[in-house]
Amino acid sequence: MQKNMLKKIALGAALILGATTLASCGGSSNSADKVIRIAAGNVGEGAQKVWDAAIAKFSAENPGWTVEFNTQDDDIYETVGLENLLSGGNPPDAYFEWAGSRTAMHVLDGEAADITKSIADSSLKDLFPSTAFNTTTIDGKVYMLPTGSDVTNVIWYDKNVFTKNGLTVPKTWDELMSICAKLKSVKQTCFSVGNKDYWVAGNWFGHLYSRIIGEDLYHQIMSREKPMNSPELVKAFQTVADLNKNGYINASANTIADQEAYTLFFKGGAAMLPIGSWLVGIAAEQAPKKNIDWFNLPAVTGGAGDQNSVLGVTTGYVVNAKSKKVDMTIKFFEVFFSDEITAQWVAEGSAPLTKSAANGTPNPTTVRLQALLANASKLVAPPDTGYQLKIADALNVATSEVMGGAKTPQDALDAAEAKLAKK
Amino acid sequence: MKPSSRWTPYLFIAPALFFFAFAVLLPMVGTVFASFFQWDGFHEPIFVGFRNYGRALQDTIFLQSFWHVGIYVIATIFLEVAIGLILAGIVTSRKGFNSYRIALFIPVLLPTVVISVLWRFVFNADFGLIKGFLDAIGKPEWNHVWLGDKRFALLAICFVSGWIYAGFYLAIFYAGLQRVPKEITEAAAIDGAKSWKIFWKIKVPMIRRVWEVSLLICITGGIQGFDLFYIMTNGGPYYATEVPTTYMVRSVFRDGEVGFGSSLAVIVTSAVLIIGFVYSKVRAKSAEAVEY
Amino acid sequence: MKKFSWVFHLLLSIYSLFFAAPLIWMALSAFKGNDEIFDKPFSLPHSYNFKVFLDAWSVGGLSKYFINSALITGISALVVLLSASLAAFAFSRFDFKGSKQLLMLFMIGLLLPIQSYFISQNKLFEYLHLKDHKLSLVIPYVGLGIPLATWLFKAYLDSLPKELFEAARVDGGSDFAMYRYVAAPLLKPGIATVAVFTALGTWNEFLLAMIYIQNESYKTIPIGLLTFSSRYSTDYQLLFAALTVITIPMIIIYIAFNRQIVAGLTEGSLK
Repeated sequence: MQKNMLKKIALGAALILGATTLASCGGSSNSADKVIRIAAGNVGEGAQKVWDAAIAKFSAENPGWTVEFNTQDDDIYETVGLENLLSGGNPPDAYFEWAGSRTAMHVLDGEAADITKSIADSSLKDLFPSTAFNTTTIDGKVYMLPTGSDVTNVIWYDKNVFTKNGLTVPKTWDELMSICAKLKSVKQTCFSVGNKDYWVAGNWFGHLYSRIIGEDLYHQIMSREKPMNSPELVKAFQTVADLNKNGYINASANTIADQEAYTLFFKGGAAMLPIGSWLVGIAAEQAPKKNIDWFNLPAVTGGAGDQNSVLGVTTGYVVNAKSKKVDMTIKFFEVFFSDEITAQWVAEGSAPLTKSAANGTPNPTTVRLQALLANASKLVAPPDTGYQLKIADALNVATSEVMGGAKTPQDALDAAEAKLAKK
Repeated sequence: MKPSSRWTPYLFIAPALFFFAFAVLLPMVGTVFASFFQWDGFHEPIFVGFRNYGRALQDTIFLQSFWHVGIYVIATIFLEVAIGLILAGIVTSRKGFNSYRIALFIPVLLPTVVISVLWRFVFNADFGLIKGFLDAIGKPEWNHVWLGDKRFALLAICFVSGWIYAGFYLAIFYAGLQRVPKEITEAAAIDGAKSWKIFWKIKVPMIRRVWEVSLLICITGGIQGFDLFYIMTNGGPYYATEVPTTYMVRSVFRDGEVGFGSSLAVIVTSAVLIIGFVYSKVRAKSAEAVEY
Repeated sequence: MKKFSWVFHLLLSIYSLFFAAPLIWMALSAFKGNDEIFDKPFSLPHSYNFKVFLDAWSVGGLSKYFINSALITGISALVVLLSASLAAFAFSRFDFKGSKQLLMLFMIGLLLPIQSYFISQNKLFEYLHLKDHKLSLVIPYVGLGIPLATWLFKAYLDSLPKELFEAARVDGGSDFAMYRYVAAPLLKPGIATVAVFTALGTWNEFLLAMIYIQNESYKTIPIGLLTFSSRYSTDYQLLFAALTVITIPMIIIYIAFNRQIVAGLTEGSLK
């Protein structure tokens, strides 16, 4: 009787335990299933449609196979999300990344597959021009299939507002400031910035700082070889403090997210929007009739940096070195970069690096953006994707504080330095 | 009672203990342990003794985050518990108010994302509802960047929190008040006492246990607050709404400082435990005092 | 005295209006285009096309989030009920060595904030590959729910007369039989309370879900909606439609069970 009872309890306990251990075991990546898992941040509505088309085509060509495209909130993906996915029980076979220090980190951690040979053995070799992999090669090995080179920051402007007020595209920062003064006199907010998550103003002004203090010093500061409160940077921050003093940026800048700032700009709430090249697709979706164009950050007179520099970064997909389906993943990307899907990317407003992208009727705005990038005399890396997040955060928070008028440049940068110096 | 075998009680406890120990106790010990190391979560941890704690206690953002959560807790005691109590008083005073009680509970069930997106739109300084309303009544100059102004951002979150949880405390107080024997209030009413007087002088003291528990839930729950802060403002503008939990998540997952984040966790946990124990001691004392 | 009733009615109505206004506005905005939402936020929609809710539901894959949440909440509640009632039975009815200390351990859990362990829990789960699985959240949620459930069940069992059990013992009932045939049936009223508390704690849980679940197909409602809201954050009509439609089943469930929920809630806080 007693033994019987014990057995029952043991059984009950075992059942409960079993339910959960089963739960955990089932999670380990299973090479038998026919699902390719790909992870990315939020790609936007238009791009999502092209993804769906590429996945459908891949499934049709490879019966039984499918792709699970997993997107997350951008800010989460960049910080918690991807890291968790890669260390989780069901890691993705490929994932979105920014070329540069972030990808190099994955290589060190054994999470990025060397795909040099896979490319050479597949149609990818012919789909891309040979130069396409320059920025995604580390120590002679290719680690990323580039989807595009984003200009991370230009200044978009409302052409109608400019025409109405007799304004022309500025050549220098001072000219830009007189444009803003003019707009202020007609009660028009100059810039729409959605800086809730710090990277928008961080990118824009990061570029500006590099122009003022020079790319080398910018790089040294972002690599912690020079302190955050270096006098040159403090002085550069004054430009941002002046923008705040003059009220040229929307007062809500530090509370709204990037997308809300797009909406504000599209609705005529501001004449200019400093953001990256991806606005092309978003504008096509959200405000197709809006008459907009862009110009690169104007030259800062007396600045130490290259005044034609471009803020940009290559983005693309890294194949997970731990994936058991590398071959099928490559097969999917052959579809993804095929001429047919490339045409859809072009139509969507993206600028794929594949050869056939030139054959379509690309968006003229995108073509000019790509030309800007291709002809850049100097490429500057954005703080958050080009450098360690912690350092980028310190700089970007200081920027947001000065932009919002909460601190003086000196105080903000002293605090940033103090935060980083602590160990 | 004696178990029929020495081992059966332990067998009964085993499943619960397994889950609790595995999911809570073990990680808690791990957190204390990790707090003495400088560790990025991947590479070899370096033992640093109490250095993380020293750093935490000098970290102005962390210290401010305590201040913020203190304001939040005090504000929500009024906006959630006190309003919940008053609403419960009104709802129980008459028949036919039950539907209010049921309706006011709904926000408790809504995902924070729904609430945050909605209220972010209400507070949006460029095209939000408050702005629309102020424009409509001809007072556009009253508009502010509610979530971007250090003076208002935290209060706005407290306000939304009150909007969510007042109905929760209403439900708790409602049931408590239902248990107050009718004879007592009726006797008082015959003596000519006004209904609000009966409420404050008789009913509220009688449900002491209920509001004591409510306060404890409000305080300890408030210190653990995360979602609303994370989605509404992400700690901004410039750390003005940073609370210990958001700062901890930032330290661990953005800055990659697992050891330092753990020391923050230990400090917050100690604070919660101290509050809990002091509270229960005070409660035990005062309960003795009123025993008759 | 009765005549003041309308004053209270008025007060409550005003409060309820303030309270419901944002929700009503959200539901109405789902029928309006983006331009209308921005330019005339307070106007009524031109037309009421309920298809937008269906679209939002399918575009957002909301069923998936809903099922995941229901599954996680259901399993967590079930495991909590089972394991906590077993433990509470032992604590309440048996004399055994270490019973006080073990109970103390559980009671500390009542006060422990989630912050005290989530950092290491994350590392532990990572190490054991427990993250990013359909049921990953069950373990932490069960751990989260057990202390309170054990406490509540123990309080129930403590209030039962010991003669009940002694009689069963005389009849030759084993320990487990006493749990199964005496204690468990009497615990029925407590089950609602524990289930409600576990469900309220897990249904909208955000922090752990954000850390542990990245895979689209395993996301629960809180995290799924976050993904959705960042993807469609500029399509306010679709966004509001999705946010409205996801809350409707919750409200229906709540109204159907509101008696049990409120009763459970208050039992718990009165104990």
